Amino acid sequence: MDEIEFRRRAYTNPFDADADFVDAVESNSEYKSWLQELQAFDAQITDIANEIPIPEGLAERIKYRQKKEPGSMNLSPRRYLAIAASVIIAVGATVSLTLYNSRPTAEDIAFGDVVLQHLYAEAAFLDSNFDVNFQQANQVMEVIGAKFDDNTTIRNLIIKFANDCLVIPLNESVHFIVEGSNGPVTFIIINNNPVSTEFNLDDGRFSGKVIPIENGNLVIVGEKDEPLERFRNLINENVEWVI
Amino acid sequence: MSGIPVLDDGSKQQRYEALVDSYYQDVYRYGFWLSKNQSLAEDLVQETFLRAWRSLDSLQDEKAAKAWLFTILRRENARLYERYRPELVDIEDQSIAESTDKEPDQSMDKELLYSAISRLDSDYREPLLLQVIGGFSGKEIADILKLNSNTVMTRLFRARSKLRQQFVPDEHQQEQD
Repeated sequence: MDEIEFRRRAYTNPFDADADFVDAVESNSEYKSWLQELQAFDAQITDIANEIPIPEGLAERIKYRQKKEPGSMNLSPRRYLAIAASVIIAVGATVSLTLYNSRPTAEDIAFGDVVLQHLYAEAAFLDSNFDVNFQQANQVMEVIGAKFDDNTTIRNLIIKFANDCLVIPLNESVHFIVEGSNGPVTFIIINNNPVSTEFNLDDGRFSGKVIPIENGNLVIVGEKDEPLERFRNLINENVEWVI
Repeated sequence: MSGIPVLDDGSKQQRYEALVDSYYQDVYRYGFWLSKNQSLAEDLVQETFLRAWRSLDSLQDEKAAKAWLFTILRRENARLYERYRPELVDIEDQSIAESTDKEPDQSMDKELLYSAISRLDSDYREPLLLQVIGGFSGKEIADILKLNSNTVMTRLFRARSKLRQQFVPDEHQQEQD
């Protein structure tokens, strides 16, 4: 085996067990010595790659999550154990209701629970800082058939995360995280049946609203005490339905 | 194993938990290299195994289970995260466990090598990590990445030779970029 081919094979896999490679190594002491150095280097690469520490209890959390999965509308947030929140949310997070002219239906409340559960499931994204620009934001909005107006209000918005969303798997939705005054503010727009009335979502950590809109529902959630009206106005005044 | 009867729920549960026990660590580690963040890696792993549970009946061959899980993980990563990934990521060195038993220069070498791996172009880094974390063959890596085998071989070659060049710079390199 010529040297070029030998090195090509060695770099591709220093532990190549094919007979022609092994024979070439055994019959050439320089190849052998060089390969041994490369194998030692490769062992370091393997060690480093595999030295990532595994979070404690991960296997149990994976199995726990699956047990809750099939067809269940459970109320326990998926990863509350792993979230460094100051408040532990007990199973069966309660939704506090502010009475408006009409009460939300049981279906509305169940939808609110699903949204809260989704927020906890994707809480890791609250730390995102992707610096999403106007064009990228509108690419995401296309998913729900809407777009942001091109104005300074939207251009000045600090968007830290934007993606399509699977909160309700059969309906299109988008999930944005922007900078609020008390921390990140999530807004999710879902093209499902609008809820019968606006209502609050409050669970001790988050403070939010579910708002029926023209083509579905707008959910705005911030950290406790985040003033949300400006975000409601922002969406109402700067989003246009294209479809 | 063709012709296997549909498993009852108890068997499916057992089969699933055996998959988790066997592979969750490698899947997590690879997920961490993709996302560079512990919380996101955990989310990725959770989503990966959930989707695996939902489509477990489609896994016919247990020998293919690991590659199947890694394929799902990559798809989840692309769906959830890759769209807005910045080109260069500030790498927190949380992955290198504190090794107080090592000589200072050994720790430094480890950090340098970790950094060098992290800074490889992802086209080169990902096949390499599939090889050294997953232990996959060139053919398996090609299936996971949906590339042809020759492309995978070339990328493995480039990944290793680039890393080697950084640590043994006077060594003759066969291929320059």
